[in-house]
Amino acid sequence: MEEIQAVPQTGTSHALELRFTGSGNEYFRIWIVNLLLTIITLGLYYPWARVRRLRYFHGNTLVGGHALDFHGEPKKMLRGFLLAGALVLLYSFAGRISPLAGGVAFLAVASFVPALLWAALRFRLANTSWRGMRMRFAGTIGGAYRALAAAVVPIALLVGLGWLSGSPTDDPDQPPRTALAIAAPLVVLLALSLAPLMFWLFKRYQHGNLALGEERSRLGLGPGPFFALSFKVAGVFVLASLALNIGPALAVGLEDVRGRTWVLLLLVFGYLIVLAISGAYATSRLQNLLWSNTASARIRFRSALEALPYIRLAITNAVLVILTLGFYWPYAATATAKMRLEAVTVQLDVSPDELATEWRRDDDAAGDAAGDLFGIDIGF
Amino acid sequence: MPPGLEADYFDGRSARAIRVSLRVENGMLRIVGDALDLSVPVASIDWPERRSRGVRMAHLKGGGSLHCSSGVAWDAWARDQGLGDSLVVRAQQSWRLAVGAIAALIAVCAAFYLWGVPVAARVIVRLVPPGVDARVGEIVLDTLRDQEIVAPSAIEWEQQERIRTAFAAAVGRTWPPGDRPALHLRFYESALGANALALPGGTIIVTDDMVRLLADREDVMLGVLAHEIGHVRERHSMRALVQVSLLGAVAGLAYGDYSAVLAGVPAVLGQMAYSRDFERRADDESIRLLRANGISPEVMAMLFQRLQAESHRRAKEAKHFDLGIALASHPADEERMRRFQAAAHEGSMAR
Repeated sequence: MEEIQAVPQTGTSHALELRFTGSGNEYFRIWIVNLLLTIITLGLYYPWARVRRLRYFHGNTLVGGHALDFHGEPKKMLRGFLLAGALVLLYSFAGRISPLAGGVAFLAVASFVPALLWAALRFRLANTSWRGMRMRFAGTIGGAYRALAAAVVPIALLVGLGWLSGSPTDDPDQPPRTALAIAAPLVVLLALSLAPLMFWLFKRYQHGNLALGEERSRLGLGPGPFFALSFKVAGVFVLASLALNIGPALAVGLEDVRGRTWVLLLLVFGYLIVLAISGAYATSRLQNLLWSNTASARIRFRSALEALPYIRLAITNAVLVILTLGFYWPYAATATAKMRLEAVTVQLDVSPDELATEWRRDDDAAGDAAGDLFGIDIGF
Repeated sequence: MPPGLEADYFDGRSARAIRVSLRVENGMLRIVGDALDLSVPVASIDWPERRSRGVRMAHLKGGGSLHCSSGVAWDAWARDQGLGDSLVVRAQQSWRLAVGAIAALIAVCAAFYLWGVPVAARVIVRLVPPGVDARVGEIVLDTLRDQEIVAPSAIEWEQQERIRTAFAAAVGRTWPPGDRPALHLRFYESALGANALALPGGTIIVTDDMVRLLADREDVMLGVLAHEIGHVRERHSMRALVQVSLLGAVAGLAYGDYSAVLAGVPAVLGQMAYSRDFERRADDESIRLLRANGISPEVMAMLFQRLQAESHRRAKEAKHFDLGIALASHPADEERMRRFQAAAHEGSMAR
């Protein structure tokens, strides 16, 4: 048996390193073959492609020397994929037929979202194993609705605003346009300011129900850090826009007629880089925030993903993906996975072997089969 | 008997590894280890795919699994036991086949773009009842009115009727009664400038500026309206809706993993190329009507000259972006003018 890369620490604490051994070259070949098969089968091959990709990424993720494994079955995932596809089609066509049908479809889809998220979380975790042990998602479907219930407030505000501004102006029962013009930005601002709270509620549900054996995680965080982080991300976005988008646009002044197409393309390019920078900043800070505060009774995680190297990687990836018309994507995906995963360590308050012997799973079948019911798999 | 492959067996109930030796005998996998002797049908096992590195994990029915930390040893063993690779696995492990896959992918995408999407859109639109077109057209018109892009026309009723009558007569001379499209001509004052639009369902909108631009040239106006009728007859706006959805779906499969923004780019560029194609088809219908009414298609040059003069005048009033041809929904004016001129010469030679 391969030795466990456990570094004994003070007392009985053990740190398990995460390693990612996937290679861009190999994943490129897997990706291109998958993409070809998916396109010539008009998308029906997608679940098989997804399973192969997840197995590649799981199988190359070593936790304390042991690889993760993915057990999802493509045929079951095809059902979930078709169901999700039908919902998306229904929604996009309903909106084109009439605003009322669009509204009804929106409500129908929105009322399904928590159940879909719950099913997806269950499916993904129930089909992920480490050392032959399946993980579990212990959250309930009711918990998913409770975690997402608060999202009704900003959605209702925005829908109400859209409805008011879309109604005829000469109707005396309606508030006048000027009042609406003042209220509209405030309502949007209010809805936006609630977003970190919504996000925290969802993450508390997600990170508070990860289970392995008898261990069950919780997220030891209030909503405060999420608000702080959203301000910082907004700040990074504004600074990056000033440096790469708004600044150059003002400097050029859009005067030269012949150069305009190029200026426009450069600005679009700059905007994509701005998105890459602020997205990478948000991802790295969020990963550290979430995983360093996720723990169960005897298992703790620590994530130390540095923002600057990760932003550098994201910029390189964005530039190369654009320049190669997407063909660089497999290299970007493996490099990103490596940097993100290897920043994480798992701390055990008990030796891994000792923990392994006490994990028993006798009451499994029914519960985990439910996770397979629709085979819904959404990436998180 | 040759020595079996050394691997770890997990029973799926505990995380304790059992050291086992693996061997295939008569279509059964024998798993032998400490106080363990299992025999499992080879066909029931979910075997791992060959990779250049990493561990190998096989899934057994009932939750058990086999792990081997040496991929090289596993692959050699699997080959010896006659467990072959699928074509997909071989393609994934060979650069030559992967490059072949790239070439095939590009060929498939090109065929899909050139024939697949337009043909699929035509078939799908044929399945959509015409009533849906009319409903979509009404929604578009309502939106144009609500957003004050169009306003009631200032053109006198007599002039509107004169254009309607002339156009109805010209259409009558062009298409046989069964094939004749329904005519709904509407006039609006609009911020769009001199323009004409065909809405799904057959309503044609002509802006007041267009009527003024061609007030002295009824022949050119007929050409403009016939172009719009061309869009209506072939249900171009409905086909465009379907085409952009199909393109978006495929681009999403290819690029959706990386960025939804990037995935939208090929869909938009592709739709613009299709749109240029629709314009050419509509110009052909315009040529057809002009000829059927004994008007030389060359008169359409007048339209482009006047439109260009108008756009220069507007450009001085308000600055706007000059987009390259890849980003334009219409072919270049010069190309369209040449097309009408060529049609005029062909016509005169045939006569």
